[in-house]
Amino acid sequence: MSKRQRDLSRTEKAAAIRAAQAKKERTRKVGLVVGIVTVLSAIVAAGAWLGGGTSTPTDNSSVKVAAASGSLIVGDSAAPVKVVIYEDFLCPYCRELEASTRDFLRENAAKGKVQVEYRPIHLLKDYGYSARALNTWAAVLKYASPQAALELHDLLFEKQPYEQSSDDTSDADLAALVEEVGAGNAEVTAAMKAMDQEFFAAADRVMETEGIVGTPTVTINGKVLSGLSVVQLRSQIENAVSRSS
Amino acid sequence: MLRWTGLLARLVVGGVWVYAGALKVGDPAGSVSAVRAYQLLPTGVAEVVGRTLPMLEIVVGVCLILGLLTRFNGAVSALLQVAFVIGIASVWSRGIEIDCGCFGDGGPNPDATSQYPWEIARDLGLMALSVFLVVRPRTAYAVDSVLFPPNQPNAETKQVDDVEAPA
Repeated sequence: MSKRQRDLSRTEKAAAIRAAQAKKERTRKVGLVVGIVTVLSAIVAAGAWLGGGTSTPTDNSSVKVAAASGSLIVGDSAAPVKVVIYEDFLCPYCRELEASTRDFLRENAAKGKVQVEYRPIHLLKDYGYSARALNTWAAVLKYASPQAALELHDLLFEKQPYEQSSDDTSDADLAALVEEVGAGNAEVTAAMKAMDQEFFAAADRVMETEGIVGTPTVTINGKVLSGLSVVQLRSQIENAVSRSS
Repeated sequence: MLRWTGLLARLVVGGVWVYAGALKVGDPAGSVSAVRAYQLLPTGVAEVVGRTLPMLEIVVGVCLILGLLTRFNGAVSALLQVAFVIGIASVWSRGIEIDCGCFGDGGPNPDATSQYPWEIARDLGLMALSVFLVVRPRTAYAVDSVLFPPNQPNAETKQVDDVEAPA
């Protein structure tokens, strides 16, 4: 073997080793990147999952539900804390209040620690949906069971449309929700066809006498909560309930 | 020099993300409301986005501060800013007045229209810094430099040749 040939094969070998090394390094890098991205995605997914407290439907089977005049009362009247929630089915903050307090209130209502009165009102008069949803709920309250009215109340907030596109939710869509809570009897269906003027007039009177100018308005033992944000309302409700027990 | 500019970009953008995410992560219902207030995404999607965003922001922010997968996280950061700019421009053009919900809060805000231009400007600035990190991901004091060392210096390769390839 001449010196030239030796040198050549030596360079070739070196090149091959370098290539093998580069390949190994590439594999290591790719593996590392995939591993890190997987861990990061898992952290993000875990964060999203932990934040999804209301994705499961609330279990209302253990709470006492009664229909009152234009409202729904959940829990025992002997409960030391009485919460009244005035809300409009189209109001986004009411939806947020529902999402962040419903499970807490239902659990404590079942334990006899709080009694909650849900009083839907007609506040967002610029949008037809607000009235249609309230009318549907009123029909179920009147002609089906309080339990069904409670479930429809929850469902209307979970499926709340955007204000601007709320007209896209048709009466048939609302009827489907009524079916979903098992309240689609003939009387309810008939009542949904016309606005229940009496119910709306009564709701307006309540707004006037109680001085309700916005939703959600929450009272605890008759006192209107001053908090502006939903987080403030929630913490006041939670404090009141846990203090009394 | 560019390495130091990159470090500064990482700290600024990463810091803003961590701050924004941390303010929202404890209030998922509020975060969903803030996303819904744009009335842009289908309601089911808005729910998922609202719940995912806070932790995503924190993770992207922490990675940028550490300099971990800088190019990847810079790209995610830039894309998020694009989405936010589209969101704000969209509510602005539709005349919806909301707090952008960028740092918690969210929901109606009567003074919003005067704030939209500034919010868009801020997001474009952060987007530019993020894009810079995509173009120049090699920055000073980055975890990336340890995990993915730059091309090995020639001296090292030569040494390996000498040891492993005796003719």
